[in-house]
Amino acid sequence: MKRIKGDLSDFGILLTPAPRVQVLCYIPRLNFSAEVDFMIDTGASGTCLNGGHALGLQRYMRKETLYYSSGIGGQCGYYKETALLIFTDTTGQPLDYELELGIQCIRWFLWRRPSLLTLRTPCLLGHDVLSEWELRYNHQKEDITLIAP
Amino acid sequence: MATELLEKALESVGGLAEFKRKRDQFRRDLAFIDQNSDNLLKYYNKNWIAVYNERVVAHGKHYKKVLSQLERHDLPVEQIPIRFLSAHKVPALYPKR
Repeated sequence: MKRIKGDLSDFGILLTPAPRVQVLCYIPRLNFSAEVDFMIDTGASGTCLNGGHALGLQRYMRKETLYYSSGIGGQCGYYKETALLIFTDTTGQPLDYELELGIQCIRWFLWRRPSLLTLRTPCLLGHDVLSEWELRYNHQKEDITLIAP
Repeated sequence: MATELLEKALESVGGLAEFKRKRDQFRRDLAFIDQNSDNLLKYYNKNWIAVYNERVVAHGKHYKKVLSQLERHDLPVEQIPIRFLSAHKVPALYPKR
């Protein structure tokens, strides 16, 4: 079994620090890769790029992949892209996970001046990944471990 | 054994050694933000900051201006954490837009 360590972060804005994990996100169709810190969110059904990470990708997105997701914050559109998430295990080796990644849809008329709320939303690692892996989370000890089978 | 897609992904960042180097750097830059948040807030409250090599290399009220600063200085935007800092913290649930 491979283990991935996370940590806690307030993402600059959160009252209570949340668990996060660092990932290289690769979208093969665009040959695009970026380092992303994902908030680990067991309440999110899908893993998604939000905010600034999504903004730069808008012009490459395909309308036919757009779907809508509902949550406490309301409804939000996401484009679907096949992507590879690359974690680093505790031995320093890369560990990859292929998935259908959601990329937040930011309407074209907001591209130039997106709202602060849109931009500062963290990227989410959802239970499409988490349900396949084991998550150990001890907030007090700041022990966040993902265990891949 | 690495999959073909993993090999392509690693190639896109310059290979395995470069992936590890960039990953370490990104982690250090994220840690710099978290560990120095009180100090950073004194100067950059309600501002976006970009941190590279454990230094604030761009900042501003608007995200796009920070991006422009990074591009002007030819810095690798995809490997640089850009964070909005606010002394006013919010719960994790997001209000309706």
